Amino acid sequence: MITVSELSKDYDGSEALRGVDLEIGEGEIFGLLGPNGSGKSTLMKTIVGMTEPTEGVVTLNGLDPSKDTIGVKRIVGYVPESPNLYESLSPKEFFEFVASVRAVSPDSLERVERFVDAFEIRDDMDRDIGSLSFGMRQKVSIIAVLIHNPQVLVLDECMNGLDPKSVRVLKEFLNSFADRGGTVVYSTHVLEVAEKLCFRVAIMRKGRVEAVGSVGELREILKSQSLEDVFFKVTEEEDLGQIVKALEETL
Amino acid sequence: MDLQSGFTIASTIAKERIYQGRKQKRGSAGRRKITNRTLWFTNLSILPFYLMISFFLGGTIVAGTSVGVFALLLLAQLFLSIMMTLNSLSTFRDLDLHEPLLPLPIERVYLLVSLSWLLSGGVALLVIPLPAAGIYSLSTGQYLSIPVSFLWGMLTVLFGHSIGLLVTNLFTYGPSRRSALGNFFQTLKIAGAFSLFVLWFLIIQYQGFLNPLLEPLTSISESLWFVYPFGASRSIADFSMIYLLSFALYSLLFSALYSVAGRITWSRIVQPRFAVSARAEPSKLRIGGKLRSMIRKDLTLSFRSGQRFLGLLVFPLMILFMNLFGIIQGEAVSAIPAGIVYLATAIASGWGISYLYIQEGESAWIMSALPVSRKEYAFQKALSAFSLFPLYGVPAILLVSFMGGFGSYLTLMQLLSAFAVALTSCLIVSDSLADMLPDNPTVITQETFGSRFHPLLILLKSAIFSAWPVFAIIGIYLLALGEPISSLETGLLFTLMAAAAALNLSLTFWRCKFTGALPLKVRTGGAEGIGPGTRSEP
Repeated sequence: MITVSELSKDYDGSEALRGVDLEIGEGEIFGLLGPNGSGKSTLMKTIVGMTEPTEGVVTLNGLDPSKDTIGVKRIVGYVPESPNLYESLSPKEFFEFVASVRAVSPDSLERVERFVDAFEIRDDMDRDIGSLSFGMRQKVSIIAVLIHNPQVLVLDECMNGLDPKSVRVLKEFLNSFADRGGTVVYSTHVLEVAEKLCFRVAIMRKGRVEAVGSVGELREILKSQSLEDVFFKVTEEEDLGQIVKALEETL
Repeated sequence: MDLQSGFTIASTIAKERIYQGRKQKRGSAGRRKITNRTLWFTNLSILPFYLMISFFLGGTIVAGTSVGVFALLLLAQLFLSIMMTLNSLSTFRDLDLHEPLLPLPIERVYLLVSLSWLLSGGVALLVIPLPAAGIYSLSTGQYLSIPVSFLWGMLTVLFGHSIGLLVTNLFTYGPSRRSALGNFFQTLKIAGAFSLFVLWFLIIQYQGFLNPLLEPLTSISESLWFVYPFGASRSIADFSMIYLLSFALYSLLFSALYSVAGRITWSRIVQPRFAVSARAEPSKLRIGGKLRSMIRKDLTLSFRSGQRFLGLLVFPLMILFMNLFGIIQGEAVSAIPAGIVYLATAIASGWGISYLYIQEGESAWIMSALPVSRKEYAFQKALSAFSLFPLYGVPAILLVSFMGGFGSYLTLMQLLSAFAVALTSCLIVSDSLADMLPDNPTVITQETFGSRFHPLLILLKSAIFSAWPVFAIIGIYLLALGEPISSLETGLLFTLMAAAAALNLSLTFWRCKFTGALPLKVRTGGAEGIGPGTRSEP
């Protein structure tokens, strides 16, 4: 269970988050949507304790990341937007490193082996990570956060670069993870994925949460046909026709 | 592209490099806009260090000794240029700074990248020979030495930069040590460093142990007058036509080398080449201890990068400077001047720490996302550096012992003192640098630790704080009992030095509060993190 109350984050006078309130339950896949710069990544980093809030409180399963950073990191798995990994280590060495630092039991390695096969990176286990494609690195970073069997997963656009089969595998895994009581916070720009995968979504704009609810609820409230329409209504970007026209004139 | 546009792009890249390193710093000071004034300050902040080197060696010129000493200054310039290029290039790659340049219609992009390297700190290197040349000119009246030394300095910096680029291509992104070729390269690196050590040893041994001061450099410069840097050193004092021709020749040679190195480096940045190792056996994942695995990760990354090669180069330089100190005192190696090796070991170890932090680069977020406390992080970095860098001091100590005719007991005491001093230095520097990191850093670069002057101050602090007991014991002993004559007295002095160094190590461990980072302690939740509220009291 994640609770976020009155959360604000200020970067040198620029407000990345403004009084965000959220409650995400156990066993829920929660989607974070919003245009670039709306504060999704900052919110996720604050949730996992990698950024200190200027104001407000976050709790994860009763733990406050700003007070018990280590405790939170023990129960969370975080995948950032860009998988910058140690380029001269191999995936095998990287998994061993993460498993050792997290002090997982030897049994957990069997689970890693299964993910390695599911994401089809077995043949690349001994190659330098630096020589892998973006998608392969993304797979490595996803597997690495699953090693310690976290209670909460915070995934920042983690499906970018994945092949369709891996996307499918990840979706299936996230559903079964939520079924077992795990909490997932997932940010994406692909609205179709959010619509199919997430139980509820929050649409953010300029550091604020403008709308929260299931996709069905939001469609009904805003009298929209699809999540895309809801998104553009909430983010006040409905009148794209004029922008496109202006661009055409410029070109 | 016109010169002004090129300069603007280069200064933008330089500013970006500095900004990326500082943007996560707490408070507005860390993240404020990087201006041209910042670039100036970045270059100026390092000047006192370079001027100190130059004055130190320049003073010996006034004393009427060999002009061959300019060779030492040029070598120092060359070494620093290589070191800064390696560091700068790894940051450039880590931060993907090349990507915005790719779509731009720029020819010879590597020139702009090199110019940005100069603007973000490299330009300060040019001052190194100037004060020495100034002192020399004042004593001889040959003021032409100043511009000539500057020109040779420029060539040296260019040469060092080219070597740095070539070394990066040789050792970074090379075959991993898992392949046969990788193992061969590793052996080659170690053998190369060892050969350098042997070379220094031979120079010292066969030149009558460098007495009087720098005499061998004079004889070498006379016999190898056409070879850089001896020819360069002589041409700063002698303006005959042959040296002007030599300058022209080296200008062409180094420019051509730079052109080749620059092109190769840029093409490798754009399209990295990776050697894929053949899998020897089925992968089997293994779990190790937390601290051990973090150290192993640091050492593995270090071994597989060009920085490791650089670390090995430090060692022969240590030997050189250690001997210079001994000779300045006008005597052969004895127990007391030999103590300077501890200082060198402490500085090398502290210097190694900053490399291990910077090595995290853009992958620093990984450690920030793992349940590792700040103290554990700092302690682990200290141990990683300790397991690498003080080892270079061992041959230096053995050499001193051999030269001084010390027995096995004195050698052992020396080794114990050196390791205690080195570990103390590692702990102090690591603790200081960890305090300078922002909360949960996602990127660590040179600039994360502030101006270039700042890490130097930390090194100085670590050298003083870690080696003071050794020098205090020597001073007290000399005042109380005088120079040790018998082997019993020397043995007593060395034992006291080792005991004092060990005591200082224990005090440092306690003072920096590293006891919580020990793997023996069972942690019970509520632990401190790399995150907020975990800094030690100032």
